[in-house]
Amino acid sequence: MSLDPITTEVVLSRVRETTEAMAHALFHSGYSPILRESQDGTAGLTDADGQVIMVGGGIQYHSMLYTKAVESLLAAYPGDALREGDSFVCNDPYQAGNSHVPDMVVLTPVFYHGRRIAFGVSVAHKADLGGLVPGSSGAASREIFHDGLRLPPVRYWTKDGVVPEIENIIRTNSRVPDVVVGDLRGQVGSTRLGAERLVALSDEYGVDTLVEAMQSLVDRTRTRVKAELASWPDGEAEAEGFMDHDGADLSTPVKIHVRTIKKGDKLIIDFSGSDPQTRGPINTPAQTCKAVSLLATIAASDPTIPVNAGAFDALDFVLPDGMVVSPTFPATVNHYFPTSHLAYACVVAALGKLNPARAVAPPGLGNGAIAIGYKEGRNGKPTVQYELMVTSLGGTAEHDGTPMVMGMCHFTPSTPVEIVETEYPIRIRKFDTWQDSAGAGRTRGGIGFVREYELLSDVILTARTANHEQPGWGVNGGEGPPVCVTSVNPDCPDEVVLAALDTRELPAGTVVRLQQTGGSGYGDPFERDSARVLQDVGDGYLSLAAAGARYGVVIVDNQIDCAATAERRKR
Amino acid sequence: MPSWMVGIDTGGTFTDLIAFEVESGELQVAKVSSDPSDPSNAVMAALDELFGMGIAPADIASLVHGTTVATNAILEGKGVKTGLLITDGFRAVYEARGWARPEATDLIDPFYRKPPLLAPQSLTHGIPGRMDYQGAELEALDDDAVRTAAQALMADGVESVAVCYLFSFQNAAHEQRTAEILAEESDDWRVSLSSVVLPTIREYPRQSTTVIDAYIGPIMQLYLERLSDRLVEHSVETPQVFLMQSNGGLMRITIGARFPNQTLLSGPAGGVVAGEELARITGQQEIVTLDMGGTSTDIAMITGGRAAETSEGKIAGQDIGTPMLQVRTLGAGGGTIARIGPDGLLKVGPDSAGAIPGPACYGRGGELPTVTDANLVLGALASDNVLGGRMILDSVAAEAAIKTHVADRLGLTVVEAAAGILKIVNTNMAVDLRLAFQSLGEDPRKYMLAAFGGAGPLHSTLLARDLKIPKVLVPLFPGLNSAMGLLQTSVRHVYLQSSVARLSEITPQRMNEIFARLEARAKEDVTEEGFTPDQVSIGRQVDMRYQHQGYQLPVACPAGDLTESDKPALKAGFDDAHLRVYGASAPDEDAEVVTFRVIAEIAVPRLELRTLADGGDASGAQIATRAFYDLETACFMDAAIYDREKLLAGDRFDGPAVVQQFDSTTVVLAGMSCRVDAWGNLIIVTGDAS
Repeated sequence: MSLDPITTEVVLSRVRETTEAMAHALFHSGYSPILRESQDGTAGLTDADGQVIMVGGGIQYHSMLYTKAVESLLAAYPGDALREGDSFVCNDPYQAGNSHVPDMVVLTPVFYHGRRIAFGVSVAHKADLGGLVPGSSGAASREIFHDGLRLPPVRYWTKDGVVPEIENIIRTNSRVPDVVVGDLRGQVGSTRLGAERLVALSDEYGVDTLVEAMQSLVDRTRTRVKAELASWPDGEAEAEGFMDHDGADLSTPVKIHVRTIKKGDKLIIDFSGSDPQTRGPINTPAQTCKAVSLLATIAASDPTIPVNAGAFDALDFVLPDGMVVSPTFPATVNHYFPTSHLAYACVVAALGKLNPARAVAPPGLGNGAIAIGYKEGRNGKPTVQYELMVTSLGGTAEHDGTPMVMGMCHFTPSTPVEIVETEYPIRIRKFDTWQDSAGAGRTRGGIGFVREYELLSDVILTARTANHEQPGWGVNGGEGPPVCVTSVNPDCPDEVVLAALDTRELPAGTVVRLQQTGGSGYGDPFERDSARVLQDVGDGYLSLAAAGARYGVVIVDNQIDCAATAERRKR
Repeated sequence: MPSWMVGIDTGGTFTDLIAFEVESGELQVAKVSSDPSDPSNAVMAALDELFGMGIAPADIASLVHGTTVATNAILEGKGVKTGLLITDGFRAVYEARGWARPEATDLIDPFYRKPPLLAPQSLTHGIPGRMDYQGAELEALDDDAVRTAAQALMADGVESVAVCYLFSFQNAAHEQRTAEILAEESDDWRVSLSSVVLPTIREYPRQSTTVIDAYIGPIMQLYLERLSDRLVEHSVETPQVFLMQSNGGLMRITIGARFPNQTLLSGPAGGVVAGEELARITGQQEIVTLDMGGTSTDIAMITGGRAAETSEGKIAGQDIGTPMLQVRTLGAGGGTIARIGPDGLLKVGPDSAGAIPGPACYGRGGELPTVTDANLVLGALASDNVLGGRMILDSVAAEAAIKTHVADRLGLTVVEAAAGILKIVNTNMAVDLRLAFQSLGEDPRKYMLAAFGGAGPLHSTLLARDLKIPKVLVPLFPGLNSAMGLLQTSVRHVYLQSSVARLSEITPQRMNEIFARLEARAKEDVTEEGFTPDQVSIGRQVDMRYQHQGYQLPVACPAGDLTESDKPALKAGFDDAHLRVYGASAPDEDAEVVTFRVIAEIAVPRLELRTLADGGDASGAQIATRAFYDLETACFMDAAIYDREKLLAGDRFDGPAVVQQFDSTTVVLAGMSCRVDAWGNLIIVTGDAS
């Protein structure tokens, strides 16, 4: 390494500034609530060949998908077919590396005096790209063709501006063209800003210095991940979990199994014990599975390590084609999200056994989303309401799990009630904590929630939730939380409990309730400080019955009955 | 009879007093140790020092106070026991904290935690009753539920109650009725209504803000009562006693307890106001202020003579929507520590050695190298000129710390390592400065950089050159700026009201109604403060956005009765603002109005900066020549050393030069030129005026 550590640090700070600026531009210029409230998108940089360098805010696992998109672009536009001023779009998961069709990838090659030095890349979820249902992610999907418009890498922008033919194709295929194109242009702006900044940095520091510093960031992550792995004892650990079903055959659970083998400074992550790819849409593309495994590895080792391509070099994957976590064309993947979250939880569980100091109980299973298609929104135009549905984190050796955050990247995509009701003809009747939804443990999981909607017009609703039957699990004697529930007209004679992943046409007046579970528990619940159990009862997180049954704490008149508690806790 | 204006700024370590005699322009300062157990002790101690200088209490014409009482209550979790009434069925709103945007490692660390709920769930009660998105009542308020909750909260010993119902910004009737019932049940508690504290759309930030108001309100009340009593005991009887607010304006201490959230940024706001005053006197309307102290740097943007505001503040992780001056803080100060990071690269900060143990060169036990140590080794600081020679810096200790912890580990010389420390801390500040410009869509080449704090003038010229900011201003007393700003502003109150509608569809009557209501509140408050309504000048703004957007921008709105014919100008103003900030606009698309704002201001006597005597020849102020390391050319060069106290208006000199004064040191780089303006400000042309 010839670049000195001071120049490297200085240049990398500037690269970090670049990605922050890109993320700011993305989240502030986007049109849809998906980008501005849920931050369901990212913007970042790869090197000239697609190796991930750095990502600005948002959903971190997106960034690891950039590589495949760049590779496909280079295959589609070989030689000098990429020109300065071009930006490209693609969203076919089998080419672009995106997790599912609604995640559109925008790529802007960065040239410095004719030399390609990097790509500005952005992935962001779109409200609708056609397909069977509003939101493009329907339960009835059986092949990728059902998931909506798929674009191979195509030129969307040139130095002269937008390519109108491409934009027209996109507009024609979306139920909400204005919002989709508005967000897409925001992505283009963000990646082009990144390109401008890198060119300016090349002017300032020299292009070779910039490229070398970016490469050094990757090298340093590789070194740190390997050093971290080397500090663990060698060994093997396994974990597995289940999806309720694949969305097609509702009676058969689908298994994800991971075996992790740590030897020296290498980690093998072996998914070959998982089930084959499915007919229904719960498949997760291989690149997404690898990305979440990488995030799990960093979570289980040292989260101060910058996430980039270097981390992959310490990992070997056993991921044969044709599994639920590595499907082959033309399998549908629209419901990849909870599956990838389950894969993450499995890897975290396995690695926690190899590195107990960082062991945590897994986040609640069942991360998902809802998409509600309206013929007319408040502004009179067709519209799609899309909200991410998260769970809560699991307990740790130090504290209770954090409530209501996405498991893999801890932000809280919670669209305000007042924004939802102002923009869509719907009423939210409840957004409440869900009593007894936290997995019990010495430290418990974060509390789950209930969100209840009353429809004010006829809609097509897809509940892309998960794990209504297959529960999560606790760690070190802790317990798993309950399963998630999605129901239509709950507590009424005509109540219908929905399957995980379900699309329904529903009339005005219908009530839809989502119960999103809490995190898992860590350690024996009988070892939890009884005063904290009492506090949980006071806070409404825990019922008296559960305090007794799950924690062995007997509470009478808001006081702990010490004798009875001691007796109960003897088992 | 002399007439003194006094500013007292409570800081973490010291409480600063600045006093200014209106006729003569005489200036006095005092510095005492802060007393966190009762901050009024330090305020009185500072006043006692002033009285010791022969100034009589009766000669104090006005007093402005910057306080950290409310901020500390949040930081230390020492607010009062707070109850919370919410719309029944919405306990997850506060718990989820839907604004949560964890940064850096929190994003992927499973040990991540959200900040604690200031009103716990055990003291939260859901109350049936519901408004729709336009404020129409869907379900009546359940009075009995309010009463039952009130009795439970009383039994729990709650001192303060926050009330936040859905869509109360559209229709406050349920919150108002709740307040009535709460008052009937007890007059021992303070009640905070979200429809009063922050009547804006988005329930979570409104609720979080209202809970903060409830949590710290009684603490502020107690403090202000005690302070007022003690002032009277000390015969300070002027009614002109004000608090500095987070919005950069003043409020009379008598109403301070009603607006506790407005004191959360009381300290940093003073410095920003001083920047606004510099913009006014120099006629340079675009200024970025950089206040670099021992542990951190505050950055604020002043555009068109006005400091930028934000409605997305954070205090100790707690979200607050009360509009406040936008101040970015980063961990870069004189005491900021340099070390080798786990990736093998040199890192500077964000942690600081503070005042104790302090930088290695302080000789107070600090062993780790800091930014101050690097500045000493490179000749920017002199070992014998800190605090007017009252403190001697130990160069040997500084070199040893840099050698052991940085140079030897990276295979560098001490000088190279020291230069590396400065390059990195400067880069960190430059990155934040650039992001500050980007977030407002502003071009640094239009700006002047105003350098404050003990360390700001040391680093600012290099930062300015890096960002292509053409000029740097160093005021006469860079270390006293926060306190000075207390005396350079007016009384200011800001009132908000959300009402979301398309601009093309909202009726002028509706807009007039909202503005009339907000302006009536403004007049009530200023009357309570002892002013007359005709002293108030009222400004109006409308926050607007394009449809589907989540971020709005404020646009100035004319006074008087609005009609349809005012809409095109509003729309054009918004298009312009959007073009400036986001680089694009859509003049053909309709816009939405989101929030209406009224800004009420009343001028009060203010510190007018005095002019210096004319000089013209700086050579008399040069006291020495010293070897100074130039980071750009990586070599030592001879720098002229000037004594700030000897510089007079009109003096000019070129870099490389170092200007020394009691509590700060200014570096003028090679290729730059410096002149002293009429008020004694150093104006440094950075050489990149292109």
